Amino acid sequence: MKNLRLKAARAGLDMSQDDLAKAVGVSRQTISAIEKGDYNPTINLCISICRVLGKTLDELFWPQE
Amino acid sequence: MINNFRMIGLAVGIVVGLIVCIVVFRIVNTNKKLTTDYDERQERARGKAFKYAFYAMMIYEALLCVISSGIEIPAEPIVIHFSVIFVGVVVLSIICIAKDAFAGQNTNMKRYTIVMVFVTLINILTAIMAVSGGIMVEDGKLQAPFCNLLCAVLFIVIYAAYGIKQLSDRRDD
Repeated sequence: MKNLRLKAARAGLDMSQDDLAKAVGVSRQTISAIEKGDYNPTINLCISICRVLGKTLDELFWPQE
Repeated sequence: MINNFRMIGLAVGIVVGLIVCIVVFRIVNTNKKLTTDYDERQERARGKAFKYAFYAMMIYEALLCVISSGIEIPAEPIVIHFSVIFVGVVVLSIICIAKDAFAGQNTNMKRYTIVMVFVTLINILTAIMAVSGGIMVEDGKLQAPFCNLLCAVLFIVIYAAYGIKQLSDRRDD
């Protein structure tokens, strides 16, 4: 399932996938895979992404009803 | 006596190869570390790639056992063993490339390509010299220089796979 909330939060801060990838210490392809729903990140990576984007885990990663 | 010289030659070759590998890693890695850093997704993808490479090597080794029990393989043992490594590395590299887990976080792909093109050319040159010197095949058996040809083919296959992946990624973007 695509993670459009992550994509929107990233775009909201005017960050490219590469910028976010560098900020959290992963490859651009990993951010792309998370947004496409091809990869489920570990909780540590989720927390890193939330910190950089200023969001909570619920806002970005909790499944929507 | 000739076998002893050959063994010493191979041992020296392996040591020189290891030293070259250390130098290459220091050149290719942007932070001059000897190890390549991969992120968590890449580590996972590489784990799967190693698994499939292991299966491929097992199947190939089993096939070689069956074939060599029936007929004599027209190659020196070093070529046969090297071909097993070749199969493993090809499977590992292609899966890693397909899953974006080939280049690490600290890999400078431009420097990597330059070094690998250089290594490929040296291997091709060695293979050509072996063919022209008539030492590629002796007594109807493939000799050690055939490993250079295998090495060159290995790198060409890796470049081709990497190029195809880059093209398909550009198309997706």
